[in-house]
Amino acid sequence: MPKTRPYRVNDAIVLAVPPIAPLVQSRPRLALSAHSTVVTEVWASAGAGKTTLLSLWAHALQADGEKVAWVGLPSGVGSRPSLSTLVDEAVRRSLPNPLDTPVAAALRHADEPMTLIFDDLHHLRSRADSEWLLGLIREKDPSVRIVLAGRFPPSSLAKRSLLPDSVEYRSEDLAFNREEARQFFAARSTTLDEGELDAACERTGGWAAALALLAGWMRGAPRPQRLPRNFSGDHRAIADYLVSEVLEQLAPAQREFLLTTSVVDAITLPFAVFLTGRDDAGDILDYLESHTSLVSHRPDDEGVYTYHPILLSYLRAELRRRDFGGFAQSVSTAVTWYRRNTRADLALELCLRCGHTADLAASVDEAGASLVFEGQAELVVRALAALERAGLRSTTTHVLSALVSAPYFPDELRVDHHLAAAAQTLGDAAVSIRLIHATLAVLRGADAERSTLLNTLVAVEAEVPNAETLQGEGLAIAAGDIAQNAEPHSAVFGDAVLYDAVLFSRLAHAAAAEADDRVDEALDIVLDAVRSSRFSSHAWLHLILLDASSTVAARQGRWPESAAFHEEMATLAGADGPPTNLVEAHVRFAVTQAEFERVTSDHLEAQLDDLIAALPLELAPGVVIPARALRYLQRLDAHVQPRTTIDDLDRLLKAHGHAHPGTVAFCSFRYVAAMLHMHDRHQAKQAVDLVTAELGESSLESVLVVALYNFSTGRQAMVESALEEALLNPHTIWNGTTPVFGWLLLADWAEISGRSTRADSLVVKALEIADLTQTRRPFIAEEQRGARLLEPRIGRLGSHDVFARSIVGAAASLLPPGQPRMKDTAYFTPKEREILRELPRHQSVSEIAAKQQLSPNTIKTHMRSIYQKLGVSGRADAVEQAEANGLL
Amino acid sequence: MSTRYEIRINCALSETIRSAFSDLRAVELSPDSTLLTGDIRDQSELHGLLARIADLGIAITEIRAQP
Repeated sequence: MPKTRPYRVNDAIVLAVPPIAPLVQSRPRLALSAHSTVVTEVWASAGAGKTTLLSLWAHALQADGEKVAWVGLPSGVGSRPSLSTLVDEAVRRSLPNPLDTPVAAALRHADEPMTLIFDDLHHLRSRADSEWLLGLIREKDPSVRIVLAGRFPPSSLAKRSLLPDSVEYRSEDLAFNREEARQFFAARSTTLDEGELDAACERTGGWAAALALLAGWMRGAPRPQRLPRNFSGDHRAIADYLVSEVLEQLAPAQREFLLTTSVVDAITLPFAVFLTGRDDAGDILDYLESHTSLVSHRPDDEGVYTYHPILLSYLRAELRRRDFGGFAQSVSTAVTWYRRNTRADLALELCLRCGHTADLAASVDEAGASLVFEGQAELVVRALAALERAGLRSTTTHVLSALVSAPYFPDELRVDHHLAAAAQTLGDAAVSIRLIHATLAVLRGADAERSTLLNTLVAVEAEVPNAETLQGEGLAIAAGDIAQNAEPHSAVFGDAVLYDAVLFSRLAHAAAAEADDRVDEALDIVLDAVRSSRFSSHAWLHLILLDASSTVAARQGRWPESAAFHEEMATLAGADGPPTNLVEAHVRFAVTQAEFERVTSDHLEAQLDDLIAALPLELAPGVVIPARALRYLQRLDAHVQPRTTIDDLDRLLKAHGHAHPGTVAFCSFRYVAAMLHMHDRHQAKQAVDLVTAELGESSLESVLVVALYNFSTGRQAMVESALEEALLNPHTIWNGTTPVFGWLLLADWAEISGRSTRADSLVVKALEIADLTQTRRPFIAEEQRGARLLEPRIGRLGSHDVFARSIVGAAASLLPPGQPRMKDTAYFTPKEREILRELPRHQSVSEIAAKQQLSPNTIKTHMRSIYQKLGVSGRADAVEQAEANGLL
Repeated sequence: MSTRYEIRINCALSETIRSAFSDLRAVELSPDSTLLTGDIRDQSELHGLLARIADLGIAITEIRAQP
């Protein structure tokens, strides 16, 4: 398993109760809920004193001998451990003795009371995490108390209102009232007269951060009982005003220190010394901590010092204003520190935040490729955009701009432009960059140029030291070294990025082999690379290679292997938070699609909605369009507004079908079938034409929809045999589920026309293919027609019986409650459909007969057939049923 | 495809705030009202800006968009 970059706990995930800063006063007015069954919630904006309140509660509980576990969520995007993992760790840290049961179980049946505090929950984004948390609240042991806190309740926790009672504190509640403010100042050895206290409360609104600043100012002020000059007059943002007052009071050395160190979010002592060049950094930090409220310090692990966030923001703005040159210098120094400590991502974030494009360019040159391979494309994209705006282009920025959209290249013109621009200055670039460029050129190149481009790639590969180890076994040996955990990459290549670039270049070789029809060889190349990338620390690269393997296998019709690769991708593509790069997005979609076909997911709609919402269409059309289509199919199956849904799907395919033939392929059968059901033949014909135009007349999908369209017409016999022929000797198949639909259609027709034995064997054929990849969805589509074919045959299906039972089970569970299924042959003949449309109008049978130019008896016969198919006995019921099924 | 956003905050314009939002145009409308205007590329940038304002503990009184 490729290791993802270890998420260091000091990167702002807090898993222990923070120490109480000196001088914190208790606030008896704000009490934890007495009963542990009641959830306590604290939602207040920055600087209101929320975290302080929580730690007060925590320390009080601990003083009473109760166990407290604390989880403070970090703000970053990108992969991080799931919430349940964090809670696990936090609970373990809070207990003196190791647990012998898993934490999840311990929370459901607790021996002794315990409290779980969640801070900074406004950072909660992942649906999986939210569902987990809600589940925990519902199922925990009554003696486990839960506290939820953050700047605002995240929308994903909206459902918590359905949970048991809660006590909620908001900003207004946390604001200090007059009496509390008086105590606040008293604790800091400052007494104010009534007038001053009034002014203080009014001006600060009881906001904790401002009160702290004010008190800090007074501690250093010459005559401590006076409020700052212009305190009631100045209408600047209060914290802004107070910060500058406090800074005025500091000695130049301390002010200088703050200036230099405020550029970063958190510092350790060694970092502070490096940054300021002062050996007494520790003393200064301690002084600042005890004399102002600007610094606090977490004594766990490495002793990290942080500045209060509100104050930090003002500090930065204020200091930037005062001394721009010094500020810029500190940023550069901090960036150097980060780069030396292999935290290129923090370096990039800092440069972006401070707008330091020169440092940004250097960091991107050095570590950009590595960050992309790790999966941090989102960060690199932002950096590249900033450099572009500053007009700082280089070979590396061009190559990376192309790399981030690999391997799907949604914006082809732009990619080609970058590759061409990079080509002009390639000579001076590092080998890894040239390797990446050559690979991308092959992947993007037209067929005619491919061999030339491939030669270029081979030439660059020849420059890689230890080039002979590039072939098959050699890579595996290198991988073995890596698995030993030795300083692995340098053992073979001396450069981690180079190793990744070499693996990446395998994609080009595989693509070339496939284009040459040497498909087996292509698969071998890419499988080889996949095996090696398992040991690389770079998840993105491994995913991209898995994806390629899956696609190559699928194109060869090797569906089971393709599905196996999807499985592996599923376990790797973390389900936490929005995808940070295109590959992850594609993989998540592929996983969701597989779950759709297998009918194994409970929350398919949610997963799809997440994907669609997370990515703007321009950025990832390759994911958003198919995801929307899948969403419509899922709605069709669940009978949700069938009419609107099919119209939406129709519009989607008409607008985007040309660019997304794969999507047309997996929708093709249901699209045409639904158009036939809910609209007229003319529109259905348009749908058929769309499919044949995008997928080719000889594709199995086209043959299938043409057959469907010609049901119960004079051409039925002909299309039926054409379909069977195409199933037995397929020309092209775009999607692995199409053959299942095909056999099922033939089976259905055989059943309708009474050829039951033939139907038996056709059903088995459908099952055989579906079983290979556990595909159940085709049996459930279309009013569960396929499942109904299976029901009477259960027990006679031999080795496929188990699978068939699982299909029938899945079908039953998907049925919307109270929805009666339509009778066996739910296909209406064209004439029946016309008459059905007449039913809602209050016309008598003779009126309909006149309109249709048929005898009233014929009309009545048709109507009987319609009633029978709908499973009703009267006209009104028929209309109702037809509407419910979206036929009207 | 950027949209112009105008965000009104309920404090006067100080040098500090001006430099905190140096990427926006800032105009003081009254002793307790300042208007920040900027061309914002996408929702992500807007949310980032709102978070920066929240980090400073400043109250927002109005947001307007002009595509």
